[in-house]
Amino acid sequence: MSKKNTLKRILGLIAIFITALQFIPTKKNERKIATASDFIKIYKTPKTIASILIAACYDCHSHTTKYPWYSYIQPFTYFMQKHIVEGKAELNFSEFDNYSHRMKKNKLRAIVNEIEKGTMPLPSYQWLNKNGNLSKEDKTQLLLWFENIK
Amino acid sequence: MKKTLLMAFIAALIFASCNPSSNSETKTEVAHHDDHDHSHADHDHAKDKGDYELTEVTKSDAAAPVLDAYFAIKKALQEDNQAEAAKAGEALTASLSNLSGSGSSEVKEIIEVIKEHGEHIAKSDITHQREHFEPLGHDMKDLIKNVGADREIYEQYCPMYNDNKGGMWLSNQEELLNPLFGSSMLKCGTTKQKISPQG
Repeated sequence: MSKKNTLKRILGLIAIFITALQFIPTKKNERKIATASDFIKIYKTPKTIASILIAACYDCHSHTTKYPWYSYIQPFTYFMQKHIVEGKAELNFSEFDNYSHRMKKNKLRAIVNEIEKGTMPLPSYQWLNKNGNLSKEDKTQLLLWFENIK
Repeated sequence: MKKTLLMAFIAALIFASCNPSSNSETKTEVAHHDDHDHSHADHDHAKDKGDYELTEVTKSDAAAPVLDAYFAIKKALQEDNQAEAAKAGEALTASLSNLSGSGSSEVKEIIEVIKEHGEHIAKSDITHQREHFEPLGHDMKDLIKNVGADREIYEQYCPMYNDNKGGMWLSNQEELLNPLFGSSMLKCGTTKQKISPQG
């Protein structure tokens, strides 16, 4: 078998593998109704802040993910699902009021820290989602708001 | 052929872009060794003796395993030892199971937060371990106020931590060894309070 043929075979197998991946069923994280314990609701967050939060944080840190087109293609679906599960375990804005006062303070401290350092939103997420990209201005606004309620 | 190549290219692109790059953090702590910055930090330990506040808590060994784990993290961080701190972070989380059965709702809430700090210290780089260790100190202090302690504990403070916002920790010894900076500023800070178990 020539080298060219082997390469063709490998590429073919990869193509079949990727196609097969598309049939993995996934549960969607899209509870439409905002819960009573939602962060934006309980802190009466101003519109500008709320829209930044929804665009840049809520996809992985709430019950309501806005799925981008690529998220319907495996293996994106898989990674997205993984990030949502992990993200919600760490911080869930939809359930924010269910945290104790101490835990709320702890989460707010961590949020400020992550925004300041630029570790959140994840760089890969920012790269894929133009809406999730925090501008300097967004950052300043968010930090001001969070420092205020901390 | 062209089609297969294109698909392979797309596949490669997909895999390449999905690596979470949270490890890209290469921030190092900036240690200013500027004497002017120390103006409000008291380094005269002889003078420090007996200068701090004295507080009493109930004598109890209920939190002893939690304190052991906390002080193990503290020691590891003052020695810049990420791996040991991570191990002790795990021990901290495990030690809470003895406590969680009893106690008021406040104690339960404190335990919940301490657990979260322990979990993060167990899996993070040393900068992030310290970011959890500082708030953890406050929760530990509240814990022993509620459930008591079995040993003398010192509350110490470094005004330079976190861009001069300051940070505290608890110590099982009076000698000041700074876990928030480690070797880069091991002696920076003062003792604020001595917490003694009574009764």
